[in-house]
Amino acid sequence: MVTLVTSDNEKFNAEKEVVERSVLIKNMLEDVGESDQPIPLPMFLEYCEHHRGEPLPAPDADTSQDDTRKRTTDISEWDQKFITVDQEMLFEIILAANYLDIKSLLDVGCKTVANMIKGKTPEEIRKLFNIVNDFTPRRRCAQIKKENEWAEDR
Amino acid sequence: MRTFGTRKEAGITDQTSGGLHSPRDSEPQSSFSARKILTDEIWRACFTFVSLKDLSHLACVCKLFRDISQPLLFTSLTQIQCLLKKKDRRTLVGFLQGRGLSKDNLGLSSVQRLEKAAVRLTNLSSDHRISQFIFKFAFQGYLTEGNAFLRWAKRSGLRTEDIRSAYPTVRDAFMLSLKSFTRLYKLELLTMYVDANVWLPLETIPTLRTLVLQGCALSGNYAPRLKLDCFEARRISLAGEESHLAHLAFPTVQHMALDFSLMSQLEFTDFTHHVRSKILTFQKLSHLEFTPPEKWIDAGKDEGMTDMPSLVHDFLRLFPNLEKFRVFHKTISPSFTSVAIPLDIFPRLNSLSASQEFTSMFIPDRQI
Repeated sequence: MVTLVTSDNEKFNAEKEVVERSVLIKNMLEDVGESDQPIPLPMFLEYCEHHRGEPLPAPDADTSQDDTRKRTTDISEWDQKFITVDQEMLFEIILAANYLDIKSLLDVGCKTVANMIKGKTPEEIRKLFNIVNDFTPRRRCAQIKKENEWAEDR
Repeated sequence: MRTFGTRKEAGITDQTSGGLHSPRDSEPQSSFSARKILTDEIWRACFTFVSLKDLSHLACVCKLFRDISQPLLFTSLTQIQCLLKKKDRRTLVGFLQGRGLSKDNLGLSSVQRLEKAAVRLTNLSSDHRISQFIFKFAFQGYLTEGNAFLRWAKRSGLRTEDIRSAYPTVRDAFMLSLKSFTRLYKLELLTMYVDANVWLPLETIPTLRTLVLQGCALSGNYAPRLKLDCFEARRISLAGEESHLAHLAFPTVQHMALDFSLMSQLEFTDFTHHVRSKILTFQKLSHLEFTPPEKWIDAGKDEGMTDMPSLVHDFLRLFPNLEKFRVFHKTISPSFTSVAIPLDIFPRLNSLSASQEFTSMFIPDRQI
């Protein structure tokens, strides 16, 4: 068993097999060795608990594909439910997954963001993420739009 | 790395979250912005799941999104549309790679394949929306004369007349399509005759910065005015008596690879002589990879020139600002001239890689 402590000082007990889905924690455990020392970490147990037993992606297995674009944004039903949270929580989960190096969870988060973007106009995307249009002058946007027109029917 | 902490640490507070979910606000009111929460890498990871159409929308959102999405847009296009696979180069199939083009060519005769390739090139260049985003292009031509071609045709079971009659169509289609590649910056030409007909269209591409000639035969004596940064001439040869190498002198070039291994010593002298006579030194050249002609050394020895400054001296003086110099030559011998090369001719040289014999020709022994 491993004890995880959130930054709010809440303690969770979890099985080693479960938390080792996070590469970061796995490395930490290897560094610390077998000990009762609690590991300070937040909530992500639910996700790892659900996905226990699934094979971990081999390290660097995906790096060759990183530069190419991945078309599938399918998310499994359970993950879909898990990730149905408000936007700020979603971003927190993504950041946590990135920090804890849980690739599958990071992918789920990124796919969710991609799905939010799907089919939206630039203005709608700006509203969605509360982004200020920082193009100066404004017609620069029109220019980019024109340059990328070919992608519209693809 | 941003840690996963409380919401306050993550920069999200209750007062700002209102802005997130109020799409009615035309201008964001709060300082909070989603794009500042996630790192660029994470946004990039998100964008890899987005369709091309959505990527083009993202590019209009803000500068950061534009910077992240544009490379994804362009990378995918150059990979899909116009990069030639190495393994295809030996076959007639591979003029254009992408969208399963190779497969539907199986079972076609060599002439039909060539005709198809010409049609594809024409289609590609007539679609301005695609051709303007072609940044790199490689074209495999044929040297339809010479023993190498005859051997190759025999081995492939092709009739040389067929290739000779069909190939010009493809080459012309390619030459025409060059004009439409308005943003081309790298062009690779393989086994082609390169003469003024090729150089002239290249001069009309203002974005061209890198040119690679692989196994090409240089023909004619037209000296193109190309503002190249990088030039590679690998295993080139000369076709026709009028041809010489002088037009390989591109004054703006910074990186250059010259592979003269198929050239004779005479032609090498010719290169040096022509470049010098036009007072075209490679002022900006900082990186040079050089493969001398096989008989670079021996001819000088035969003529008993051992106490004269060698051809090498003249040649090296063409590159006064060289910083990195690599020589690919195994059998060089220091005995061909008793006049060592003063290293002072390269005041900026900081890297020299060559065989020990070659490096020992330099004086004084300066640590590089």
